Amino acid sequence: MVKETTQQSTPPTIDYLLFYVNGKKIIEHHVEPDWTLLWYLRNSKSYSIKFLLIYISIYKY
Amino acid sequence: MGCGEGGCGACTVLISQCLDRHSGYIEHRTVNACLAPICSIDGCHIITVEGLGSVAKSNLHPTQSRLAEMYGSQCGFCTPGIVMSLYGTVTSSNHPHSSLTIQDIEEAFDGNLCRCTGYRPILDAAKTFAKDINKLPRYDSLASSKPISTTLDKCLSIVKKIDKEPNQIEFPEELRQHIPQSIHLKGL
Repeated sequence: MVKETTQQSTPPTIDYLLFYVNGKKIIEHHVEPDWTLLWYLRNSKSYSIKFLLIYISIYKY
Repeated sequence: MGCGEGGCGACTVLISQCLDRHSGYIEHRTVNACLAPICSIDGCHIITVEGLGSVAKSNLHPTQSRLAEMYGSQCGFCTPGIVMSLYGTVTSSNHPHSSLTIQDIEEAFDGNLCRCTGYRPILDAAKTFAKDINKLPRYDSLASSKPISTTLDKCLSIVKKIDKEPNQIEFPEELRQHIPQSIHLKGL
């Protein structure tokens, strides 16, 4: 009988993505794996404001 | 923005990643943002067209100003993607020994569609970044005086102009030392 000597240890994991967008650091904890980069960029708060404003101005027009 | 299925290339972004921490080698790739999964960009620096330069900040990158000067912005649908593809090619060859050829530049636009059918001015502007543009033959043959390209002179005049050095976003120092770890995402 083989005696198990090595302890089972889980490798360290992190629960966020770290990346930079246009020089700005972003740590994103809430990410769905099936999102695309485009979906993320267009819907994240800092980047959607510009498009929201454009959309509103077109809508008003 | 764009078609959302990788057809038009209007959502092209530049992804820079430090592949070798010791030599500091940084790889630049241009990808369609609509096809890149968000999880694939951990530890990368993304430059979107919004981060490149703007008229408002009078900080146009040479890729943008040359495209405008050569009448390459037509309806404007494909322009952001074209600019990013060109910027990626120019950035990754931005070292003294680069030999960026016209062929390389033409191939960089494989993923970008222009629906105005006006590739000529776009490619003219792009080719001004090629190192071998001066080697292009001017005429059909030695005997004939019919020029091959009617826009070559304009291209060459733009090549000679010295571009203002734009304020570019540097690759973040932190990502040079980035060690990828296993990520466990729980979603929303």
